[in-house]
Amino acid sequence: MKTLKLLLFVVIMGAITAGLITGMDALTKDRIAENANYEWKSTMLSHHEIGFNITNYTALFEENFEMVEETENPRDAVYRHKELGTYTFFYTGGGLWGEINGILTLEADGRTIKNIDVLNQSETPGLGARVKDRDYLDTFIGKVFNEAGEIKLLTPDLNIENEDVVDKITGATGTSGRFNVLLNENYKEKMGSIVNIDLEEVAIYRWKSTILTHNDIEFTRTNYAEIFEAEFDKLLNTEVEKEDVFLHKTLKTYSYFYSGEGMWGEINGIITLEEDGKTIKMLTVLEESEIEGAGVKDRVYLDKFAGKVFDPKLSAVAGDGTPEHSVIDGLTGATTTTNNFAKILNDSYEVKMAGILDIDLEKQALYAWKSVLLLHQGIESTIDNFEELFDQNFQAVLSTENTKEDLYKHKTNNNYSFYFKGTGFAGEFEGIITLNADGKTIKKITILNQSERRGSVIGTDDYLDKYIGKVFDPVLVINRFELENDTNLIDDLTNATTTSTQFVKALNKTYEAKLKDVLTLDLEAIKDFEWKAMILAHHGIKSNFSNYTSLFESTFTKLLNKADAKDDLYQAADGTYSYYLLGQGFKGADIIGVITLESNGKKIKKLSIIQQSENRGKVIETIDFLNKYIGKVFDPILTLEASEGVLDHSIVDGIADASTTSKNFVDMLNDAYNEKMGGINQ
Amino acid sequence: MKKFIRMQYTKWYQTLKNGLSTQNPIVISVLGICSALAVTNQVQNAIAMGLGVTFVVMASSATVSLLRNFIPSKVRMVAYMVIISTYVIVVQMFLEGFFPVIAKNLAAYVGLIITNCIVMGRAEAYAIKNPVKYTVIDGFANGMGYTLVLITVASIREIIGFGTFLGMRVMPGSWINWVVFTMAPGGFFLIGLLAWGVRTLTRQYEE
Repeated sequence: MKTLKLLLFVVIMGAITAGLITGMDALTKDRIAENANYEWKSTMLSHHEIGFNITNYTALFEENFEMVEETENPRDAVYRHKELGTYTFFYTGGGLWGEINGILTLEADGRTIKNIDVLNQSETPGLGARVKDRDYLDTFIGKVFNEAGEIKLLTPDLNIENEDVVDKITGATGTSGRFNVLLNENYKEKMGSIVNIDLEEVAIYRWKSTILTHNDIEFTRTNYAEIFEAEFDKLLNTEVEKEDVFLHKTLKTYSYFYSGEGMWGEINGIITLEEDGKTIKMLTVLEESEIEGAGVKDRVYLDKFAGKVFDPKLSAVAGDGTPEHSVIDGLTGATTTTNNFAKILNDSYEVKMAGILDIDLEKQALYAWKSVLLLHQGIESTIDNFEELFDQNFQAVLSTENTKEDLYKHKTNNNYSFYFKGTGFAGEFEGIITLNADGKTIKKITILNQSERRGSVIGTDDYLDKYIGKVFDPVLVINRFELENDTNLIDDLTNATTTSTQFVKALNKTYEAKLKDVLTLDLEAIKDFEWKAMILAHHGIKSNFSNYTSLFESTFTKLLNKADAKDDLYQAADGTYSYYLLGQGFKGADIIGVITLESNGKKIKKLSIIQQSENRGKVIETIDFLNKYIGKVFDPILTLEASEGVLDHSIVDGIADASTTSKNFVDMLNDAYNEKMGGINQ
Repeated sequence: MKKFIRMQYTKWYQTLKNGLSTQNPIVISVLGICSALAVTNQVQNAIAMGLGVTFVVMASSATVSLLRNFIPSKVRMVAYMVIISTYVIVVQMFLEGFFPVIAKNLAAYVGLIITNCIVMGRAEAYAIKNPVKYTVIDGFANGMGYTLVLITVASIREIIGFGTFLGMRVMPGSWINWVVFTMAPGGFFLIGLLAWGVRTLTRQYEE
C-alpha cells in the first residue's frame, strides 16, 4: 500500500511537471524562435525610425530591407535599406568579460555611422557596462570608418575632433578597447567587400608605414610601397614579407615586426634597432588587448625604450645582473604585461636577429683582430676591405684550424704577428703582438680586451709603448728585483703585480707556442734559464740567455753533485742556499719555483714561483702572498696551523678557499727542504 | 467599518497582513537576502524579480497544497524542488516567448528564483498544511512583501547610486553618485536599516 502510494505520487508529480513544461514549450516554442530575431530585427527597424510591434516587425523588416549577400544565418548578413541605401548589420565579439553584440547602421556611403546599439553585454555594471548607454553610443554617431576600415580609440596623441576617433568610457579602458577592436573587425569583415577595402593592402600599409616612420622617412599613402622598396634591403628573404628583417640601405638600421602573447591577447608591433643590431632606435605597438597594461602602446612609455640594448636580453627586473642599459621601465600596476612584453621583444629579437648578427658578429670578430694586425703595419682598413688587405699582406705560418690562433708573417717585411690571451686579476685579456723580422724584438702590442681593475693600465698606449723594442730573450722578465733595465726586463706595475705577472706570462707562453718551430726555440733551455736566472736574481745578479750558464756556475757551489741540476743545492759565497722547487698543486698540475735560504740554512730569504696553474689558489704566485713567507723559518718544518710546540716563525698563512693548494704548497716547501737541506743540517 | 473590523479577523486578511508586514520574508524572517542584495541596485530589476518570485511562490505553493496529501513526508523537500524548478522554467519560457525584452533584462536572475529561500520556505511552512485558496493568498502576500522591500531598497539605491529612477535622471547634474550604493555593501546598509524600522513599527523583536 505504501509503495503504491509512493508510485502514485511519482506518477502524479511527473505528469504535472511534464505537462506544465511541455505545454508551455508548445505554447512558446515558435514565439521564442521568432523572438531570437526580434531583438536584432527590431533594432534595425528602429535605427531607421520605422514603427513596429511584436506582431508586425517581421513583415516590416522584409518590406524595408534586402540582404546584400546571402548568408547561412540571416542574422550574419548585411542588410541594405531598399530606399535609403543605408547598411545595417549585426556585430559580435569578445568584450572584457563576455560577448558584446549589437547592431551597427551605416549611411549609404558605407563608412559613416548612422546609429549603433549594444544588445547584449556582460561588462562590469556601472563601469564597462556603460558601453550600452545611449550617452556613450551617441558619441559614435557621425564618426567615419577610415580607409583602413577602422575607427580609432582616443589616445593622448589623437584628437577627438577627428572623424575616425571615438571616445572611451572613463574608468573602463579595457571594455572600450575591446569594443573598438570588435567593431573594427566586424566592419572589415562585413563591409570590406562592399566599400572595397583592400584589407591586405591596409595591413601592409600599417606596418610598412611604421617602419618608414621609425627611420624618419617621409611618405604618402600612395607612394609608401615604392619608397619602402627603395629604402630597405630584406635580410632573411622570408616567404611572408612581414616576417623579414629590413635593413635600411644607408642608415643600416634593422626593423622588423614582432608579435607574441600578452596577458589578454596578442601584442605586436614594429621595432627598429640601431646599426649595432642591439640598441633600440624606436619601438611601436600596433595591436594589443591589455587591460591594466593598455598603456603599453602609449608613445610616452615606448619612447623610454629608445637606447635600451639587447645585451643580450631586455629585462623588466633591475638588479638580477642585467646591465642597466637592458632594464626596461615597468608599467605601473601591470607587471605581467610588462614581463610578457619584455619576453615578446626578447623572443622575436632572437628569432629575427640571431642569424643576422651571427654573420655580422663573425665578421666583426675577425675585423677586430685582423684590422689590428694591419694597423701594426700602418695599414688602415674597414669592415668591407679588411679581408682582402689582410690576405694581401700576411701569410699564415702554422695553418691552425682557428685562424685567430695562427702565426702571421708579413709577406714583405717578414714581421711576425700573433694573437694572445690570458687571465689577469679580474678577468681575461686578449691582444695582438707584432715582432720584428728577427722573431724576438717587439714591434707593437695592442690590447683588444681586458677587464682589469688596478691593472687596467695594461690597455693604455703609455704602458704598451714600453714594450716596444723589448726582446724575447728568450722570455720577457718582470723587473722585480730592482735590476738594471735590460732588453727583456719589463717594468712592474705597482699595486697590480698580478696583472703584470699574468700579462707577461701570457706573452711568454704564447710566444713560445707560436715561435718554437719558426725559431727552433730550445724549450728545455728556456725552462733552465727561467729558474737559474731567478736564483741569480735572488742574489741580485742580472743575467740573460747567453750568459746565465756561466754566471750561475761562477756564483754557486754545487753541494750535492746530483746528475740533474734541478735536484741540487746551491750555495753562494755569502753562505745562502738556493734550490729548485717542484710540487703538485690542486688537480696535479706542476708548481715550479725557486727558494733562497739565509746562511743559517733555515730562514727563508727569497721565494719565487715560476709556474703554476691553480684555480682558486692562483694567488700563490703573487708578490703579496710570497712576501709573507720571507723571514719564516723551517723549524723544523713550516706549518699552516698553530699547535703546541710550534713557534710563530714556522707558521705560514694558507689561502682562503684553496686548502688543497695551500697544503700542497707547504708540503712542497717542506719536502724540498728535507730533501735538499736534510744532509746539511745534520 | 464594522465590516472592516470583522475582516481583520478573517484568515485571508491575517495571511495577507503577515506576508506583507508582520512576517515580511526579508525584513522579519530574513529570507531571500541574496537576491535582495543582488538585484536591488536598479528599480526595473527589482520589479521584474519581485513579480517573478511572486508568481513562482504562488504557483508552487498552490501545487504543493494541492498535492499535500500525496507527498510522502520523507521526500517532500525533493518534491518542492521539482515543483519550484518547473515553475521557474515556465516563467522563463513565458517571458522569452511573450516579453523577450524583459526576459533579456532579467537574464540569469530568473533562474536564481529557484534558489530563493522564500519559495521553499512558504511551501514547507504554509502550503504543506493549508488548503489551496489560503496558500495562494499567502504566496501572493509573501511575494508582494518581498517585492515591496525590493522596490523600496532599489529606489533608494538607484537614486543615490546612479542618480536615476527607473532609468530616468532625477538627481541634479551636479549630483555625485555614491558608488557604494550600487555595490553589495550599500544593499546591506539599507536592508539593515529597513529591517530595523519595520521591526520597530511592527514590534517584532527577537527574544
